Amino acid sequence: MVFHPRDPNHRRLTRRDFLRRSLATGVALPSTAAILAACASEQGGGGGTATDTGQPEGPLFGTPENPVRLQTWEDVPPIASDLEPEAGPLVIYNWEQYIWKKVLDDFSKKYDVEWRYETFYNMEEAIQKIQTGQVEFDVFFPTIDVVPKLVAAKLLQPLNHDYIPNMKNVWPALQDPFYDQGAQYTVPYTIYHTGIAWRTDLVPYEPEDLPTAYDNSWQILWDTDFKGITGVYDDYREALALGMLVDLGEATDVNTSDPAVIEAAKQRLLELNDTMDVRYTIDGAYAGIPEGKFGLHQSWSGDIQAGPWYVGSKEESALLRYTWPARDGFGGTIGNDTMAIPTSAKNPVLAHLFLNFMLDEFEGIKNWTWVGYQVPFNVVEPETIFDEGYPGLEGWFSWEYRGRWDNLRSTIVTQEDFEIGKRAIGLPVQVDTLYQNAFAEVKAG
Amino acid sequence: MPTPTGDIVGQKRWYWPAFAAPGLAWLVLLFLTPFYAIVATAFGRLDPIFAGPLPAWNPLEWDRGWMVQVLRELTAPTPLRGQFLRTIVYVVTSVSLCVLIGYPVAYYIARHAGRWKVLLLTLMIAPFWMSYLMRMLAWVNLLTNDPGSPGIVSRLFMLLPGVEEPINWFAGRAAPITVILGLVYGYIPFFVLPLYAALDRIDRSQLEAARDMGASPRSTFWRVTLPLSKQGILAGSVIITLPMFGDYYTPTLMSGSPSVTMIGNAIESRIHQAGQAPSGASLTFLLSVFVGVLMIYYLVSVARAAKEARA
Repeated sequence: MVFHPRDPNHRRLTRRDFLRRSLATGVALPSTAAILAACASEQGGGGGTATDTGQPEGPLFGTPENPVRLQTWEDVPPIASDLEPEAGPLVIYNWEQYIWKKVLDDFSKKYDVEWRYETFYNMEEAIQKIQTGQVEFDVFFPTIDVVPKLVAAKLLQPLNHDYIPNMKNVWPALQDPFYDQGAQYTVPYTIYHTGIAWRTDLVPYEPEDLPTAYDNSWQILWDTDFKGITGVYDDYREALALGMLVDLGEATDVNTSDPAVIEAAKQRLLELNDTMDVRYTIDGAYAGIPEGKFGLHQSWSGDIQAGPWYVGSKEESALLRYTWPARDGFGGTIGNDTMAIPTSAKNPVLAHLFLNFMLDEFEGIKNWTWVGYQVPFNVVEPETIFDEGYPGLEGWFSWEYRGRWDNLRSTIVTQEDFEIGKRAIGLPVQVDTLYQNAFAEVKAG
Repeated sequence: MPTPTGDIVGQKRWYWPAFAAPGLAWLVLLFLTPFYAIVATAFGRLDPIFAGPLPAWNPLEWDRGWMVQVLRELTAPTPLRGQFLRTIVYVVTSVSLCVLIGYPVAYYIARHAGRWKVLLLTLMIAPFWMSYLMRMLAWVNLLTNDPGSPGIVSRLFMLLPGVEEPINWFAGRAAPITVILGLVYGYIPFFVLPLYAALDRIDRSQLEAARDMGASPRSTFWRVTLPLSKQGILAGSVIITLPMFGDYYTPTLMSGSPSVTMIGNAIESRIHQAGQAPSGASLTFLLSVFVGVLMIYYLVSVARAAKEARA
């Protein structure tokens, strides 16, 4: 499974956490088995087994070229319109620190309900707990690769869009995304692309230099001038996508099932081990670069955008740079997270109201200023947001924190970016295993 | 007629064994059951939608495929075997360093600290009131080669002749040193404490007897103190060896370079990757067997030492 930008595994793993997780896994296993045995029939091996209604049973993985409308189930109906909200409390199940509590307080005030925030460490843990019913909650934040699986397992309920008029604030492309046509089950949360971040005192380039300095901007991560200060995300899909992009550029298919392409990407990453002394991290971009532990790192746009919070001074934050090579024609990945409501939600009406609340322009942008990850709203353009901020939220953006500058302007994700960005989607188990084994070999050193 | 040992008049035969019940319940609940869950996962299958583990609770349904595959990986020249051998080298080096550094410390506190004993013990333990994570991150800051503000250790090294630039402790040739440093620093108090207890327990009259019989201080140490503290060294070593074999956060926090990942990192990533849980569980199982063999050696030598002591 893909590591998430907010996955705190790699930043705050204490032994207590480790113990707690081991215990949780140990305890979860029996009930998982029982439930899965009940809900996943033995012969339904994923993919295309059709049911009586003609719907495929397994998960449907859409691609931008082949968007999918996810299955709907007769026994999992959406809620009716015009219902009164429940008394709460609204329970949110999310990555740690992936929402601003002040925004939750705003919601609480508006609807006069309490909220509770439950967290998970990674998607596997979250899914396991959902399956076993260990946590009961109303709103969940799945990554797009697991959405089709959750739907196939009947763990998400269809949304009633009567409650979510704020969907109009969202970019049209994400109102009708390829992984969930018609936004039947999900609404978008945050967006990010995966580029390269560096600091100019260690890597003396400006973003516009890269396409001339290298045949393909991604090659900078293989430049031995920066040996020992280079990092790549500890995420098998992101790392292998990088290994493909450096050779194939725009022609890369980051979801390829071709073993030869995956093998070539693996060789490229092994080369990084040997020639660059590369390190694999999750915090190397947002904290490592600002703190000088890294000079150069593969980076989610939102990670380096939060970089100014981690530097010591205004001068140091002016050293940060980011580029997304897709804009220069070398290809690159882009992604978004989603919000959804589980079938078992106790407060489904309230949950719908919450989704709508998070898509409110002011509240969504307010949340962005704290979590560091951008919202896909029509109003967000680099020109307006960077130069004018947002009325009522002046001084809250990371770039305003250390004075106004332009060096991180490229971290803003635009609608055009979504047209050229590549999307990593969920993969069938056999293909996924190829990726995982390749990355395990890279990580074994 | 003498009553058999333990059978006090008026008490039932089960009275004393009953005291073992909490310990037994603890073992069954918190060791055997989770361990069986690992075994059942290792021999189990995957659910078709999420590729999560479907443990096989019934041994008749066990699928040995994953275990065989991992065993094959460990015996052939694969990256996993490299990781395993590297782990052994790191653990052996770290434990040896703990013995070399920890023994004099424990010896001093037990023998020569006098009324400062408690204070010294407390001071030694004090840093460990902080979480392991914080202590590792503190080291990262001490070692950092940030060009703007190198860490204190990096600055000290720059005072040496020939060191012009801060050393990069986190990648390249220095990374293994950094990881071993982290392991030693992280675990050494758990070595010193049992050793201190063993040294403290040594009867002074035995040392006096050795001196009276003409042994020099040096030979008293080699022929009396060291053999009598062997149990403490072994106990301390076992206590730190076991978690070191499972450690994955030290290499992750202190470096992140694939050149220093340990077997624990392989387990961690397999357990967390969809579709790989049985493989991770198999690896966990095999590592437990390996560590179990070390444990048995420890128990056997304890038994032997106890016998010698009686003789």
